Amino acid sequence: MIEFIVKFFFTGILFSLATGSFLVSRDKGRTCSPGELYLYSLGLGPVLTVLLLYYMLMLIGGGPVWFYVSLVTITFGLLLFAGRSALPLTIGAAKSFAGHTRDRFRQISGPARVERVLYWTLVFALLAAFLVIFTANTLQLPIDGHDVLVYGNTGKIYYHEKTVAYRDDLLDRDNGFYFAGSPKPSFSLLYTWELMLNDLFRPGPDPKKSSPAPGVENRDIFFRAISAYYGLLIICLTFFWLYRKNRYLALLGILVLLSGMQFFRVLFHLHLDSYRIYFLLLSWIFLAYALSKPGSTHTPPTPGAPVEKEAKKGIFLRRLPSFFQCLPQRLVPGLTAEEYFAFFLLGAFSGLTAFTHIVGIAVAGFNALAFLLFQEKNLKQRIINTLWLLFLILAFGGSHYLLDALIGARFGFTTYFAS
Amino acid sequence: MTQKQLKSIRRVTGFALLTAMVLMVLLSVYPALETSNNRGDLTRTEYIAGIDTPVKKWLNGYLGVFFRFEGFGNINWLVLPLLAWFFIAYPQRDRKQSALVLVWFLTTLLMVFKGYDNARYQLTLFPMTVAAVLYLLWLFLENKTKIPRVLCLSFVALLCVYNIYHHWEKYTNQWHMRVTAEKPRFPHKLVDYINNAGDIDQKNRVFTINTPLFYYHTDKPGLDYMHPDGAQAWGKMWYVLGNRQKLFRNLTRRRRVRYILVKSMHLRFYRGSILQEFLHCETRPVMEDNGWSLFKLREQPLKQHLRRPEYRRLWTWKPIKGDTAAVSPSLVRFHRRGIYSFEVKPFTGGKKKGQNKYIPFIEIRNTRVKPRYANERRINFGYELGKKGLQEKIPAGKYAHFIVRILISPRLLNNQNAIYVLDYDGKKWEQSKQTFFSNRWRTYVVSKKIRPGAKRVRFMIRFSPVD
Repeated sequence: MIEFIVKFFFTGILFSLATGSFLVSRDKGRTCSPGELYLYSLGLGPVLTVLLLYYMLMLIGGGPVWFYVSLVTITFGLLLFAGRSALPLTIGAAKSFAGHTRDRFRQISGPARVERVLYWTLVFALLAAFLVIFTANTLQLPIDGHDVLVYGNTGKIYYHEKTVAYRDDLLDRDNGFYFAGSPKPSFSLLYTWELMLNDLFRPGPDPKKSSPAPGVENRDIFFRAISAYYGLLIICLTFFWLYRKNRYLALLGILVLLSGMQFFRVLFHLHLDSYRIYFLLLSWIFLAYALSKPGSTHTPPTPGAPVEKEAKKGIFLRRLPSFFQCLPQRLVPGLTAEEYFAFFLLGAFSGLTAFTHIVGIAVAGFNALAFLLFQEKNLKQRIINTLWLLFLILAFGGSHYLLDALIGARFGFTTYFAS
Repeated sequence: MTQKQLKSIRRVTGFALLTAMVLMVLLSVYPALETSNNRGDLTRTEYIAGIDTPVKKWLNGYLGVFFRFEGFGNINWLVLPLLAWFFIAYPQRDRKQSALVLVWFLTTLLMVFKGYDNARYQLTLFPMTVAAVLYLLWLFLENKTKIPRVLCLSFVALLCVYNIYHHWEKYTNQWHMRVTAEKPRFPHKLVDYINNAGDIDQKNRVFTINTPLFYYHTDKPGLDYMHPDGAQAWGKMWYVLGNRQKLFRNLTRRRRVRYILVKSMHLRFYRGSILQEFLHCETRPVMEDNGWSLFKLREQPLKQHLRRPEYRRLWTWKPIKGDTAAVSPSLVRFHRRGIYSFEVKPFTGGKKKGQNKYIPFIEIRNTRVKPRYANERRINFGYELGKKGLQEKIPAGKYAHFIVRILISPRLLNNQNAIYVLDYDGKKWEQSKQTFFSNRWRTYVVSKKIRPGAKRVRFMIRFSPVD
C-alpha cells in the first residue's frame, strides 16, 4: 500500500498540482477559478507524463531509465517553478473561500444548517467509503481483462526496448507476445512509467512474475488504479458542473451515473474508458470556454482574496525579449490574451483525447469543426485559428495517428474507419 | 374555477401525461431488452454486445446510447425530447451551446455507425448525456415552483433506483467479482502452474489463443495465434478439415509447441474450426481455472497412439455400398421414443482433391413423432460388446474408448445429445459422457474405465431431436 501511495502521490498528485499551478498562473483573464483549474489538472499528471515519455522514447530511445524519469521530473519541476506565482494566489483563494464558507455557514441556522452538514457528510462519506473499499479490495486484484492485458503487454515492450517505434507489428522477442493492430501508446505508457519507477526504486533484479496473490505483487498497482481514479474525476466533474445549478441536482447526477452498469464497472474494473472519457469531457468544457464571449466567463476575484502580484523577474527574464514571452499569443493573433488560454486548453485536451483512444481523434476533429463554425470572427481568422488548433491537437498526441498512418502497423488506424 | 385552480389542474395534468409517457417507453423497452436468442451460431459480438435479436440490435446497438438501460440507465433517452424542447423554447442560442450540441450529435452518429456493437464505445457519451439531461431538465423546471421541481427530480431518482433494482443481480455479481472476490475470475492456480512448470521453455512453448494474460502474468515463452508463425497453424484449424495429424506435426515439430492455452468461454465461438476436436483428441486437459484452460499435447497424434500394441481396436464401420446392416453390422438400437430412419449416404464434404474413396455415413432422422412422447423424443443406439458380432471382452480396470465422427445440427448442441461409454455391473449402469461441440463434421472421443464385475459394456449415441 505504501508503494501505491508513493507512486500515486508522485505522478497523480504532485505532477498534477505542478501542472495546475502553471495553468492558474497563465490564466490572466480568469477564464476559470483556481479551484476549477486545479480540479481539471488532477487528471493531467499521468497523461502529461506519458506524453513526455512518448516523445522521449520516440526521439531519444534506448537510454537508461533514470534519464527518462529525471527528464519528466525536471519538466514538472519547471512547470511548478513557472507557476510559482499561482501558489500564493491559490493559498489566498483557498483561505478566503474557507472564510467565506464559514461566514455563510454562520448566517444560516436550524434545519438549513443541519441540511448542509448532512449533505456534505453524505458526499464525503460516499467518497471515503469508496476509497476504503477500492483500495482494500479491488486494487488488490490482479488484472484479468483482455484489453488491459494487451495494453500492459505493449507497455512492457516499450519498457524493455526503451523506444516507441512505428512498425508493422509489435512483438516481444523475450516471451512471444504479438500484437498486429494499431496500439494507442498512451495507456500502455502508464505501465511503462510504472515499470521505470519500479526499476529505480526497487533494488536488485525484477521480482519474479509469479501469480500476483492479493497484496503481494505490486509491480502494476498504479496501473491498476487508473480506471477508478479517472472514474472518480468524471464523477467530480459532473458533480462540480451540476452543483452550480443545484446541489441536489449534483447528487442526482452521481446516482444517474451509477445507475448505468457500464459506468459502475469503470470504478471496479480496469480499463482505459474513464481515462479517455475524462479528457474528452475537458475538451468539450474548453470548447465552450473558447467560444464564449471574451469576459463572459471571467471569474471575479473572491472577496478578500489577495491580488495577484507579478512575480519578480530575475536578471535572465528581464533581459528575455518580450517577443518570446508573448510568442504563443503572437502565433495566433486573432485571439486576445484572454481567449488564448481557453483556446490553448481546447487544443491540449482535444489532443490528449486523441492520444488516449481512436474515438478521441474523431472527437478532436469534431471539436475543430465546431470551433471553425462557431467562432465570432471573419472566415480567414477562423481558418487560421482552427489550423493552429489542429497543430495543438497534433502536438498533444494527435501526431501518433499521423505517424501510424504513414509508417505504422499493418492494420493501421485508417482501417478502422474503412471497415 | 379560478385561474389559480385552472393553472394547478394544467400542471398536474401535464405532469401526469409526462409521467405516463415515460412509463410507457420504459414498459415497452424493458421487456424488449429481456428477450434473447439462444441459437447455436451466435457470433461472439452478438453474444457480448447483447444484440442477438433485431429489436436489441436497435435498442442496445444503434440507439444504445439512449436505450441500453443495463449499461447506461433508463433516462438517457430523455435527452431527445428535452433537446427538441430546448430548440423550440430557446431559438436564440449561445454559440457555445450550439457547438456542444453539434459535437455531441456528431459523436452520437459515430457511435450509431461504428460503435453500435460495443458498449464501451457507447460509454463515451454517457457522462455528457447525463449532464445534458439533468441540465435541460433543470432548465425546463427553472420557472416552476419548488413542488413540481422536487416531484420531477424525485421521479428521475426513482427511475434510476428502479434500474439498479432491475439489474441488481448484475450489480451484486460485479461486487462479488471485484470487491469481495467471492467469484474470482483470475486463474491463480493456472498462472502458478505455468510459472512453476519445468517443461515449458523455448523448445516447448505455449500456443496462446487470444490469451494476453499468459504474457502479462507469466515469464514463460509462448507463440501467439496471430503471430505470422502461429497464424499458419491457426489457419490450418480453420481451413484444413480433418487434418489433425498435420496440424499436430506443424505445432510440435515446426512451431515447438507443447501446450495450448485458451479461454473456455471462447471455445463456443470456434465451432467452425477444428480447435475443439484437436483439443479433444490430440491433447490432455492439464488444468481448468476460472474459465481458462490449459491443454498439453500428446507425445504423438491419437491415430498413431492407438496403433500401440497395448490397444485393441474394434472397427464397426465398413466403407462399402449397402444399407445400415452392411455398413455397420453391429449397430444396435437400444431405446427410442418416436420413429427414426437410418439411411446410408455417401460422404462428399471435406475430401482431399483427387480422392475417390467411397466413404459412407449414416443419416438418422426422426420421421414420426408419437404424440405421447412429443416432448421427450430420443433414440439411443450404438454398440454393445457381446452383441451382433462384437465378441470382445474388456478386462476390469482397462479403459474403453469410443471414437466416432458426427455431424449434428446447431440446435442440438446441448446436454441431451451426446456419446457415451457405459458399463453395467449387475446393479446399475455407470457412464462417461461427451457432448457435441460443433455443427460440423467432427471426431469425438469418450473414455471410461471399466469397473470390476462389469457384465455389459455399451458404446452409445443419444440423439434427442427438437423441432
